[in-house]
Amino acid sequence: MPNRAWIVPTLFACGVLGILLVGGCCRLLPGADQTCLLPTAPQSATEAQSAPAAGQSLFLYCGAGIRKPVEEINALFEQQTGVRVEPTFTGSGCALAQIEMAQKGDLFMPGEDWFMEQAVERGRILERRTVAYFVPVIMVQRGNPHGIQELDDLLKPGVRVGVGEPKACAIGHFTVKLMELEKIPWDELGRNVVAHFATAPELGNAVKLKAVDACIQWDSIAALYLDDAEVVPFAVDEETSSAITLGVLKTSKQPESARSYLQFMEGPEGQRIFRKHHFTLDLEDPTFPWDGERD
Amino acid sequence: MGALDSSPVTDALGGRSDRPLRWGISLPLVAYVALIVCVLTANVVWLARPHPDTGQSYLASLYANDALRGEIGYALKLSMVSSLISAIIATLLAIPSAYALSRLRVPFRALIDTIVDLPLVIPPLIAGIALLLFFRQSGMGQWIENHLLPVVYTQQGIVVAQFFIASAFAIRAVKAAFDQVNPRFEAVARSLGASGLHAFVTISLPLAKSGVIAGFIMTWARAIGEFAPIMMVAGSTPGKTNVLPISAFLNMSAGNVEAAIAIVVLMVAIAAGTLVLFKQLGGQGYIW
Amino acid sequence: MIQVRSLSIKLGEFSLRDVHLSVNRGEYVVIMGPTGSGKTVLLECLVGLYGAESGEVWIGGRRMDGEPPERRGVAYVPQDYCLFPHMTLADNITYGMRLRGTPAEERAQKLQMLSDLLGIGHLLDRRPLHLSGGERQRGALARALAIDPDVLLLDEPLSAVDEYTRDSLCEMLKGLQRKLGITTLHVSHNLDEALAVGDRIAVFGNGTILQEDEPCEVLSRPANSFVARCVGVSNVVPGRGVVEDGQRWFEADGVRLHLRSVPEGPCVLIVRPEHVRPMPPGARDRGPRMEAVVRHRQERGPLVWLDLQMGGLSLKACLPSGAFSPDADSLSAGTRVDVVLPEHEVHFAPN
Repeated sequence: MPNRAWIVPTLFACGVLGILLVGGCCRLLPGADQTCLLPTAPQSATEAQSAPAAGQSLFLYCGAGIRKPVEEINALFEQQTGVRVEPTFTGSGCALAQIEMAQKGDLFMPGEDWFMEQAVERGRILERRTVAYFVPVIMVQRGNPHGIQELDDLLKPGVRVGVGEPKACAIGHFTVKLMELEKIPWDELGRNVVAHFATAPELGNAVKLKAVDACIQWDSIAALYLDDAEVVPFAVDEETSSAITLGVLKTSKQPESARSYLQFMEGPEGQRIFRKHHFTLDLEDPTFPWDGERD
Repeated sequence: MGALDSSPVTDALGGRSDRPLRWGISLPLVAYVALIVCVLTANVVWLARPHPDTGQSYLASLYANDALRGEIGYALKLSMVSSLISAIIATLLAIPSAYALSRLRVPFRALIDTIVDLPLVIPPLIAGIALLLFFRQSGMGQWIENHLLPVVYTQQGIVVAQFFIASAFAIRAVKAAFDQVNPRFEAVARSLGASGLHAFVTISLPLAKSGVIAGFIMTWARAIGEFAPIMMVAGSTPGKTNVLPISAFLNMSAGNVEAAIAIVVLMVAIAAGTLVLFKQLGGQGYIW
Repeated sequence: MIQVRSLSIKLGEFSLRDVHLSVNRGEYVVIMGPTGSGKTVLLECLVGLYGAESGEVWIGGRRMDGEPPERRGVAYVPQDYCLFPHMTLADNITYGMRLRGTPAEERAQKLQMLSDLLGIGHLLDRRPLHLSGGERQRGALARALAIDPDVLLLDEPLSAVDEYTRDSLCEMLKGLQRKLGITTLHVSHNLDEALAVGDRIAVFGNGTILQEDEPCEVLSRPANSFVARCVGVSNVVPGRGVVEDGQRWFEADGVRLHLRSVPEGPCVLIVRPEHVRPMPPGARDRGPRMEAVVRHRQERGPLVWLDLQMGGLSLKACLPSGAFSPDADSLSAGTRVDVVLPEHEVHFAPN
């Protein structure tokens, strides 16, 4: 057996060198947040076609529930302006913590206005616009086995209801408000409630997986489940709807680009994409009842 | 060193009268394995169920979805690459660290031992928050970000988060291995003329081999399953930092439960395959 | 070759205090002492595993205190042999040579030579796991000898070996050492072993070397009662020397023995059983005689052991039996005898 004492220190040195190289090559590539493990994968056909302008990229903290329209909008935006928007889809509470601590990023779209309010209160937002609305609807299982047509039907015995946790997510908070406005005592509803959920998508999944029979859900999120669930709309009220706001962060190093993104989202193309994904753009004209004409 | 299997008594409960006892002892094992298999089977079967409108199984329709396939394929590659890198770095660093803990008279040994185990005990989300804070709010962290290696919201952040959480496994396993190696072997090697380093590399390390491999496997397994710290530190950007668990989360958040379950099944398959492979390479270990 | 001066170290429960030892080149010294007394710690200090708190270690004229083990030229065979389990026997033996970059041919030659010498040639491809205790021991020995060490340290090499094999192994060790001329330190707790191989014996107790001398000296003139017990002297009688009317007497247990060499004051009488000569009363005068009674007689193979009672004092005597000593048959239990203690065989030591 040959003298192999050199192996371990060499391995070690290689390991350390490897780390430094990985770090080093990052410094050489343009832009700070670079990809050294794998090249980025384009997220849609339009994105694949566009060539990103070197160094131009916006970082967006985005709620996980609005991923679909946002990704499409980003691709189109990049194609038109050459500016790439890099989203991170987290739970909104998580995003707020990240904004506080990382002090880094250009845009914030929590998908639940409540979090935007908090960000504004903490002085993190430069400017913001409402780009769409979340309107509450009743979401039931496919076939509507319990025949739920209006809010009071949720109180019917034997109906397993799921609600968002009022302290954790906006849908929960708005459900409470809704019940107040409709003068439905919370305790009465509570008899049918089987579980509280921390986020709106979790609530939707519960209906899909038949863990609950019905819930009050945001329209665009309920729309994700049209294969497995049905939507029962009811009267829309400004008080019980939540605005989806996009804000430019004060920590943005490219506020102009961020503003143009804001305008794009607010503009005709952005709005068209939101509508396509069943988002309500105007409280006068909610997504549901679905008349099949939108696209 | 390995157990001496030259002893003739390997099955103390081999007799006929022991049969009921053998069954009794095997029962919890069977129940546990059955539970795991049933849960996994249920998931696969659910995926394979046909869509009420189209009749095609959800599994097939997922596969046909190019965008989804692309996303999951990327997530798979990213997960494997990052976790392997994390595990390799962790194991490399664990070898001298564990040796120091095991053999050297380290001052404040008990304290250091406790600190080494901390990342294992802290809830992963909290660890993620702590890491994010370190890199962006502390002087040292900011210096690292600006002059050494950008970490937050980058792919390197994935490796950093995985390494931070999982490397304790490597240190523990390798330390257990070194603890079992008789220090006299090194002493004899040195008396024969080997320097400390040479004795370590030719004697102690080969004898601790199975512990090193066990440490590597455990670190890799933990790293590939990390979710919350990666989301906090590296962000969850599809096409850039979406490792498999984050991909599952993203799909769940978009209501695509089927995709999430498909990822679950995929991860189980990978884990099983890789575990088998590593065990072939490593032989018996200290944990397995 | 080896000089240890005032070596002191405290290691957990073991401590060495002020150890002095000196071994000449080519000598075979046995360190004897009860199990667990710290003999291994002494060896390990010589190997270089521990730094002493005070004292000096010189090997081959060079001061070795601060030197690491790899530079001392001291080969160590520990008690459990410690053959590297992940290598074959051949690789074990050639480990030291490969370290030094010895060319392959020379290595093979030496391997051949050692394995012939120790009779392990047929085992070279096996792993230590598949070797018996004796085979492992010889393998460990070969490994130590392969590096041509200045000093060879053996820690209880024969303690795990049965009585029968021990004799042949002692012979082999001694023969090997003489042939190769390596300075050897051999730790043991067995007296027969020590006597079979040792040029000199060092008795170790209470953390230090109590006596270091040729075997016959240690056997007949142990420095104190501890040493005496170590070397198997069964007659250790504490008492005191008294001078009366110009005559010297040893007084113990109410009995007075007239012995000219007894020192004054408290001391211990030490005499080997084979030098206690019981004779039928009235035999020719050979020296100071005391009256005694045979209390117990035990036949142990070639020897006859007698418990002799002189008033309150008891001594053991040991005679060859049968053909070598016709008188022995007559000394049965209850017989009165006269005991002769030749002056030059009686030894006094401090308590």
